[in-house]
Amino acid sequence: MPRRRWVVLTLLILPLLWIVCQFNSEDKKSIKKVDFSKRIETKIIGGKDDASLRFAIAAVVSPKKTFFLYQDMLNYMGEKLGRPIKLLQRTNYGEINLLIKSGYADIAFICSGAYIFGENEIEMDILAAPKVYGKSEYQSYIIVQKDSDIETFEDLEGKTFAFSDPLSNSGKLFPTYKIYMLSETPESFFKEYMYTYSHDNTINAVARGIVDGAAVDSLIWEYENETNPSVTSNTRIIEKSPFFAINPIVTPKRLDSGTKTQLRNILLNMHKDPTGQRILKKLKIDSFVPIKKEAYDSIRMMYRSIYKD
Amino acid sequence: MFNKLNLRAKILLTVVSCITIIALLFIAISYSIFSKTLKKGLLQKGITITNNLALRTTDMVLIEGNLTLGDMVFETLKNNDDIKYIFILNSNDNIIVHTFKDGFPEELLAATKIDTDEKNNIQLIETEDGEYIRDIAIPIYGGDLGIVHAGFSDELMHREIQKNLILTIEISIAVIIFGIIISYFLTGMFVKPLSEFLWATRRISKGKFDRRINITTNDEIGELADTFNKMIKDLKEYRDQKEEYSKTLEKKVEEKTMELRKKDALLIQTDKLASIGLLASGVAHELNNPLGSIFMNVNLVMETMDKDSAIYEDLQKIDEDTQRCKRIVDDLLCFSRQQELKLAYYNINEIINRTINFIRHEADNRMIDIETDLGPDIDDIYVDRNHLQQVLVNIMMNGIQAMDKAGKLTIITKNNDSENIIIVRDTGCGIPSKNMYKIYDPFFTTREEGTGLGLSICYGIMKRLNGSIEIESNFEKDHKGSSNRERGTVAILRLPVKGPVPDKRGEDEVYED
Repeated sequence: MPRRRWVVLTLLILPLLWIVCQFNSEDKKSIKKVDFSKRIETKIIGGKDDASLRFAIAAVVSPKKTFFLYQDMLNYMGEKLGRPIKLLQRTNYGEINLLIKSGYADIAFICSGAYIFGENEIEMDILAAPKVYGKSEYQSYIIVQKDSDIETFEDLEGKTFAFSDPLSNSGKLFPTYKIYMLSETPESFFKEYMYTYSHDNTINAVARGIVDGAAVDSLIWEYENETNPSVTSNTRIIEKSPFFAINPIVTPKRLDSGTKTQLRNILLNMHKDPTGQRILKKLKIDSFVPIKKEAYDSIRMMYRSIYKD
Repeated sequence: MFNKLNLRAKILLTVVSCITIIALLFIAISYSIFSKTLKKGLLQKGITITNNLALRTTDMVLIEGNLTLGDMVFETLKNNDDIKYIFILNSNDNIIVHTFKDGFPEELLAATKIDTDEKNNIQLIETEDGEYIRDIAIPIYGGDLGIVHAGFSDELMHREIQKNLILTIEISIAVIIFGIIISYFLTGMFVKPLSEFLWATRRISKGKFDRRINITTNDEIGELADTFNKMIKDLKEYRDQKEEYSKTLEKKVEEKTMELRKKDALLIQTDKLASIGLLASGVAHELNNPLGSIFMNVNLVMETMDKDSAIYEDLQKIDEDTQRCKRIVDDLLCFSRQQELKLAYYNINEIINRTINFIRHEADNRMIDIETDLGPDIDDIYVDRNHLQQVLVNIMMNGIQAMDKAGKLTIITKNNDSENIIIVRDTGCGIPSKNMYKIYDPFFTTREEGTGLGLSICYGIMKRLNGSIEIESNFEKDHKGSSNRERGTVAILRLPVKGPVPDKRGEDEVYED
């Protein structure tokens, strides 16, 4: 074969080899070898594993949103305290109460209702309570769908209803007390009822017509109405409860008093600090204020009326 | 080596090499592109699955719903064949959940440690079994909560790539086979006619022109074949001609030699006749007067004698012999005397009919049929009628005398552009070939009473008339057994067609003998 033919052949084959080599040489450089046969036991994560304090919050909005809202506050408190504070989230108030009872949580932001439900079996102290919209009180709103023909709470008889949490004051205790006053039980009064385990879920359920009515935390409704009015605009408030003392920050009694005092001071002075102020603003809290056990008497009364009678 | 191959093998080899190279290129490119695309796609899928898992597990990580987390992780593992493992780390790099059955691989954590600033991290891991796993790590909630790791086996990808490679190779092989078949038939279109041409050329070089190229296509090759066939035909004709020519040349030379010899003989004959004529004329003149004297005196003596006397009979014998001598002398004189020709236009057929009348009696006596085939459109010829008649009588009488009994004398006249031809054919015994050269010699005769001057005189007359005489004969004893040749003698007289119109037509006088 003439020499030229060989040259042409080589010129044709070279790119071929180049392509193949190119492919084969690809991503060989950063391979790490792992021997999968060597195994170790991993410990189950849980328990108090370190020096950090644990701050328990019920995810009354979504866990992500809760994390987003409270992480800064916890970091701030941890910094002031000189000990890291970790966020513990649970989806219902009952679990938070259990965390306090078991000692797994060192601090907790709990519902006023949950505080009353738990105070007899869990020894806890109130550290402070937030002041929102100028006061440390809130209400329970009874809401229905915007175009519903339901005008009063009594109209809800035989309808479907959503509670937010079994231990919630605004979301369960107050409407149950209303029914109690009508000498009925939720089972007898409503056609059907359900728990949503979060106040924003409750608003959504009413707005979409999943339930005919629901009881919701006034602070949450107002907050949602301010930030996300498209949902709340589909609901209508048919009844507002009297004012109740706001959700407190509690600590189990057994936490050492030094830490307790430190935490209380941090909370009560947070609004005086620019960083603390910024964090409080994000949470829509004016400041943390001291609050007494007796502030919750109205709730305590409703609880006792229904459950101790 | 390549140059030693035949044309078809060369074309086939070239085409197959080209297709193979193209196919190999195609395989390599398709392999490369497919691998990259598939890898990208699978990687994207892996990232999506892991991302999705990271999003879904965020809440569970936050609320420490480890059982639910475990369910979610195992469900994802179950639904994706190519996922080898999943594990989730919390923000302290502690393992919250993993899908390994008997403990967590010790080296895995270190090998897959990532920088949480990255949106996603991919680390290629090689197991102790040589299997490749891509560890995709997606931070949960921007890395603040932890990281989801999922290990995707490369096995599926390699299986797919392999499947694709096999398919590509199969297609390429099919294309190569197809190419071979196509080029086989295509080369056939050229090579088959070429080998036919080659075969034909070889035959021609061996001198065989018997075969033609059998290509009837309507294209350039067909045209070439036609031209080639024509060339073979021309060559064959040329060669045949050459052969024929060389074959006939000898015969022609022989014929020419014969002709020359004949002419030579004729010249000798003419010369001989001229000499004899001169001699005979002298002798005849010298003998004529004594013979006349003898004849006259014998008759005078006989008149005075009694017819019954013995001498009278002797005298009568003398008289007869004298007459005979006188006839010979007359013939000799006739033969030698250059009598002036009385030329005029006469119709040949007329002359022939008259001549037949003269000899009819003799023919009837011998029971000989006379047949004529006289050409109707024969022009008048410019001749001496008496001389021609003398020749004809002589020839016809010779024919009649050659036939013993029940023969046939045929007379034919015909003409062409240059001459008139008279043919006289008898069915007699013929002339032996040994005598053929002597027939014109004066005094050559086979008959007792003949003078042997007849044909010599005829020859002389025909010559004077610018004509010719030819005698052909089949002597019966020369051709024993050959039935296809007719026995007998043919005399052919040729007379030229004269040009100028005659000033007078010959008189229609009665022939005198």
